[in-house]
Amino acid sequence: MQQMKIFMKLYIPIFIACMLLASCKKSFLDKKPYNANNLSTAITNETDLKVAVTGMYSGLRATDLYARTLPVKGDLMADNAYVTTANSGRYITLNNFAFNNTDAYAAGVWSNAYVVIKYANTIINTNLPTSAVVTQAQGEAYAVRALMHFELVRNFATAYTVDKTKPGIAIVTDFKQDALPPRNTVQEVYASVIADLEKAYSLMTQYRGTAYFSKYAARAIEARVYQNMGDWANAKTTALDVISNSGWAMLSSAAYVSPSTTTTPVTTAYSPGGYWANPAVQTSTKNETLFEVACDLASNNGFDQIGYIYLTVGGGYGDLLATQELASLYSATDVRKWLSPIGTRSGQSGTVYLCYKYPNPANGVDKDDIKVIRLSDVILIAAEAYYNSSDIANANLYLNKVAQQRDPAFAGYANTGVQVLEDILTERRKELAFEGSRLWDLIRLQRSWTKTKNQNPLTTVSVTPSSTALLYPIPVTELNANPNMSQNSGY
Amino acid sequence: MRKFSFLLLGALLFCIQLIAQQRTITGKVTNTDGLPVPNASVIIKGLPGGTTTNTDGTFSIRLPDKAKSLLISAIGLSDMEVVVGNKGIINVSLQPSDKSLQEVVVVGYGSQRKSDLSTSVGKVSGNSLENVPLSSPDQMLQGKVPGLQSATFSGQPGANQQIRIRGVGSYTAAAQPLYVVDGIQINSGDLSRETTTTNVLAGMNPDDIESISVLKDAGATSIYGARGSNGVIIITTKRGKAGKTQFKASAEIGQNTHGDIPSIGMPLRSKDWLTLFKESLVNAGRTAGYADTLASTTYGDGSTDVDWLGLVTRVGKQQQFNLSASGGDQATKFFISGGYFKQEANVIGSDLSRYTSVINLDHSVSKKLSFSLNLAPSYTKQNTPLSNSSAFSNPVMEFYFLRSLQNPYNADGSLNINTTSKDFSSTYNPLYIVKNDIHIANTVAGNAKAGAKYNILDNLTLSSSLGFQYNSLEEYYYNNPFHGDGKGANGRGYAYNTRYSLYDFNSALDYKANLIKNGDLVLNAKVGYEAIQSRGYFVSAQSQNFPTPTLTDAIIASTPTIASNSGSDYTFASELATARLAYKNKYVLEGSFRRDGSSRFSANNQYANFASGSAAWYISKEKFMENVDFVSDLKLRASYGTSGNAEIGNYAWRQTLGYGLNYNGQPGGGFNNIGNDQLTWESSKQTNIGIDMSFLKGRLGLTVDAYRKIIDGLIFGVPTSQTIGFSTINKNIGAMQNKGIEVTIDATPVSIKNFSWNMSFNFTYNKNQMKTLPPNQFQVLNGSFVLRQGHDFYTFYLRDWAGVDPNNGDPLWYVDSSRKATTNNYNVAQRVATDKTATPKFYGGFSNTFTFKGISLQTDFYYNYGNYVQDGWAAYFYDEVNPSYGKYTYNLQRWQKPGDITNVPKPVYGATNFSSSASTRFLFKGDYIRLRNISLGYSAPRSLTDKMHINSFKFYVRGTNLWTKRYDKNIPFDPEQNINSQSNLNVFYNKAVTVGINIGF
Repeated sequence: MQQMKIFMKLYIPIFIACMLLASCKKSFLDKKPYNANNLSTAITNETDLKVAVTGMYSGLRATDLYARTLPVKGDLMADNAYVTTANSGRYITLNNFAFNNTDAYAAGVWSNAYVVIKYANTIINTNLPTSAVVTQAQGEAYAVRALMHFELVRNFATAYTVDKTKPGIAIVTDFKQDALPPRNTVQEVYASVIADLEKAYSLMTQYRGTAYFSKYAARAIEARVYQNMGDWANAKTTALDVISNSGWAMLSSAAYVSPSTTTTPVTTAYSPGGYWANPAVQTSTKNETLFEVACDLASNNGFDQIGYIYLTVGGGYGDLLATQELASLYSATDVRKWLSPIGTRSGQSGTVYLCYKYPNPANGVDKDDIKVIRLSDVILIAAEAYYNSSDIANANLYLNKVAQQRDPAFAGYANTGVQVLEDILTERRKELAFEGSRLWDLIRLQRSWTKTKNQNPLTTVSVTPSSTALLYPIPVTELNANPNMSQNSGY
Repeated sequence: MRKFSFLLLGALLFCIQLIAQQRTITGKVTNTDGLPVPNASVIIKGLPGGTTTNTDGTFSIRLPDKAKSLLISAIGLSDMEVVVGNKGIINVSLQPSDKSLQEVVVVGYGSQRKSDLSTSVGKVSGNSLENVPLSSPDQMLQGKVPGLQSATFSGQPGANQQIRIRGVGSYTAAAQPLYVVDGIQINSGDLSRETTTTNVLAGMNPDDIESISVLKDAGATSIYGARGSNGVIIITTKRGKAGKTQFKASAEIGQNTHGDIPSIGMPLRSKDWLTLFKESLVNAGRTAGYADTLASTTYGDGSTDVDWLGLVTRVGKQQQFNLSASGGDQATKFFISGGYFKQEANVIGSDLSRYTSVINLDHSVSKKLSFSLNLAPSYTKQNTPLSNSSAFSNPVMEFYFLRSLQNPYNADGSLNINTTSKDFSSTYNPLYIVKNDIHIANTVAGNAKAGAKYNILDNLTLSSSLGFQYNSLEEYYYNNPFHGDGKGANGRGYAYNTRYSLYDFNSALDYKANLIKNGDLVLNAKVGYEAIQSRGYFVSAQSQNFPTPTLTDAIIASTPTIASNSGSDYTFASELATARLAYKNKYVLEGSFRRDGSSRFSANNQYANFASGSAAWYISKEKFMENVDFVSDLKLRASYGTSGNAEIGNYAWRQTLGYGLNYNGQPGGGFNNIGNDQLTWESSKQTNIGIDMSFLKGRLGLTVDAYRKIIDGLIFGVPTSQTIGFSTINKNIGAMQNKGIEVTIDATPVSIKNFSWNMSFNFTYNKNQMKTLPPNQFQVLNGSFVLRQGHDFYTFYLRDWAGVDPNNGDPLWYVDSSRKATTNNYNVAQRVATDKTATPKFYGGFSNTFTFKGISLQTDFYYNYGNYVQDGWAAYFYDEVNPSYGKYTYNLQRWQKPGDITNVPKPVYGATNFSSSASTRFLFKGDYIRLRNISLGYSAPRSLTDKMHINSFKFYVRGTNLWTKRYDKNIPFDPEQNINSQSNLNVFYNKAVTVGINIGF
């Protein structure tokens, strides 16, 4: 009896106390994640801001942005590349020039670009005491935001040069959880892109290497934007600013490409050598690349690297090949010829041209970085700007800066009239092949072309300025969630 | 001195008088087999006093003169009242009780006799889990409990099983029920990170299970509060009983073969494949000569004709060995077991072996204090090639994708890994992969629990227990350097260690009171507290570039590519209470309450309250039922209550900046979780009405339950505009409803001297309906399904196939749901919310057991009706849209000339008409009847076992999944796929034939 009384006196109160205590112990129910911090307190100083900037760049490395889909689209939907017979099923809709509104590649560009815009906005809208680091960080964020809006508008909307009053895409400058934005017009989007790039240019003071935006990289993008707008006066000013003042230079032809062998067909041991075989980013030098998206051993997209879609090295898919028309443009002394050498591809008959701009997907030390804009592109923009202001002499001068740099034996272009534009376009095609540029040149100039679906047996698709697939469909998931968004015609 | 002796005399006289007024009765209690019944209760009717029988069934009791009769009762046997009269010895033989209502059923935080239940609980006893060649007990539940749908989606040994109780219960949160093993709310399901599928319950030996209770209605599940909404499955392991130590040994061997593959779903062999291939080229505008050349240069001339099915499948070995000992005395009871289970899958490269042990101890220190100990360690080894669609190295996937023209061997007999178009240019040789790649998951697991019970008073008990669950998976995945996924990197090794440890502490006070002295009105109440914490710990390492294929661990590789660790935790803290009021065991009223707090709920909304009430009316005990002879039991029950579903992400409500967004060798972070500070549990309200009937003294039993469950606060990833940088935000915003009927019929149609026939039939009808969707949303897309108000959760949402145009062989779809026009343009055809669902309309089981003397024959059928199954990989295997892969035999029915009426369009090489893209063309009826089990057993009679000096001997032969009837002549695979009825190239279902013996001694 005594024992029981003691027991009751002791145990019951303890038991009840436990019950009450546990319900009061707040920390027992507060379990924090292992890999994240509360957003409101995550960015409090310069270091945090730089971490956020790094995170923003990593978003550009999404497979459906620069890591593969954007550069692939620009050549595959144009006349530079096609999908081989024995393939892994990737990019078939691009190869067939036929999309439906659930197309995964379109949806991937749309969602990933806006994720990067979100990251950029977080940085732009953070209030920290001004310093060189903070203004550089915010300048870079403005540049990335502009770049993303630019890619979105040219992928999903009518070209500026065709009709700038048509619906563009939604301009986003802030995070609002319940936002259901309509499409701004193409004109409005380009205006905001230019404004962001101007702001970036004014804020940035540091050069942190080619993996990050710098003042002149932003300017170069601005030149590209003006080129797409057909605004040749501004294209010329901005392009010349980069060419004259940035300190960037092209490499010699031997440093640009230095093939490991000139015997064709090449084997999987082939390397283009020089600049294209070098997977390292530049940290202080300013050769060729103004801005690139960096990939390395620790951060890369594995089998979804762009090198694997072009080559079978290292178990890659090797789905894409260069078209004969592209390969035949290079003269025998043009070093760029060795970036699309003749090779073999199982299942593909006839002469096979491979793309070797991304030869390092299986590299055990570093991986290919994807060039977003290079100096030679800007030089050719200047040439085209001169052409459009009827200064043929300068047009040819700048054109030859690139042409003769790559082909030292070339005498140089010296044509006049509309042929100069064709020369510029041809040179652009030769120089920027496989960097996602060709399609935009064709669209902004309202060209028609024959897209090769397969070289052998030769099957083609005829593309005209009225083809539906010139514009990606707005993803059906966006339309379902956002009643203010309208679809492109034909979808 | 005189005073003392007077006192002594008085005492003596008093004693004599007492003695004279009492007498001792002895006796023995046996059952109808003549065996003693230990622990039977012997009470004096109407007076205090009683005893229990010893292990040999004998008892001895002192009776006062007034005593008239004894009441003798024991679990599983009918109570008996014996008039004492003048007897000195009373021997009693107790009859078996009406089993269906006397057995004990484990429920939440306690147990009740089935006759006392006011809630809907299904019970599966351990007997039906013995001698079954399935790797986990949840697989064995299929067809046994109405309302429980159990889908086996893969024949891989140790595969996770998908279980839904009373319909699909959630969209975003997990829809699996809560599993409670020996009182511990365990982490269950597939805990692996790199293996296709594993199952925590595959680490459990079904032979160690005493019973499984399935809690279905709110009255039963509400006590589990925020985790009870999807139903609760309680597994209880065996415990010792007082008496002579009983040993049980069993051994079983057998073999596994692959399930049926319908002939139209078999891939074409070389000749037919080439015919179709060349025909498609001609249809694409090429000449026959061109077609011949292309075929033979790219793929070969057809002289190679490989039977890939034979290469990829095999006859797998099956064996299990178990030994257990159970016994004890009044104070200490034990159950100890050990088991070994090995199952080789019917597909190469996949198998499971498991070692388990259970040690359960109970000890009574005194009448007041007792404690118990549970220990259940296990070790499981699984070899699993990627056994669903994930990758090219899945043998089942390769069986369908490869052509018969591809030769797995070179001319010299070595394995072919050439990459020319004729060989393995984009696909892999599964024989080489299985031989040279490694994909294993080793699990060290264990449950442990220590508990104590203290009877503070006779009617007040305090019990506490601390349970612990530990699961450590070591997953290792090695890709060889020469062929397959590892080729590009010269070999890859991935080592993942996934560790979960969980503790569950609970304490409760149980109070019992007789509110009316004679025991007519009894109150049982419980008040308790529970705290659960789970920690997940993950370490990942990956390296590539191996120097030699002779060693496969990542340490020798040159380049680490991943080296990382992480974790994930959750906690629950709860208060619970139950009360039960029973009047004469005729009217029962029960209620439960639980308050849960969890780390998964946002800080604004952290506590949830749940409650339920249920009632039962034992109609057959009423006076007016006394003369109704043919009804032996009739009970009406009803319940209503709330429970919740807390299986939302551990950190989902937090708006966070996450890290790991690294770039250029620097660490990066970004706003990557939109969170929602209002996010909390999903809740359900369920009403259940049930009736249990038993006729003809138990020869016929019928149970019917009708229920309606409304699930509220369904979490939806409400689609946002992707322009905000997210695509969805989770909100508790939807509602859906499940309502249905469950029927169980148990009958003994024949029971004569040496022969009996028992049958059991159950039927479940469940109708699921979406009630509320996120605002402004007409529908929510869910892959091939759509959620729409008033429609089933798994409503197929596809373009409506309209057949093939007989004039030109074009594929046709209806433009829209009105079906007024057809089109051959896939983009013009609209998706339609069909009336076809992945959810069956009804399903159930039908078992028959025939016993003749010692021989028994048991057959279990499972039937499933009303759902449709989708071929998720149709795009590759139908038509020639993707010409380089294998094709179903079904394609031979293709359109060839104008006027042909067929369902297979004209094959065109590389067609861009989307003819093999998703549409209702690839929906097939999922109806089937399967003979899940047929077993023939022989139990040796007493005379024989006595001679062998053992207690029992049983020998059996058993066939599993031997026969299936399908109802759609066009279905290319077995209809039992996922809960969402989409095929995913999983390991084929398993057919097994096993023989075994059980010996008790």
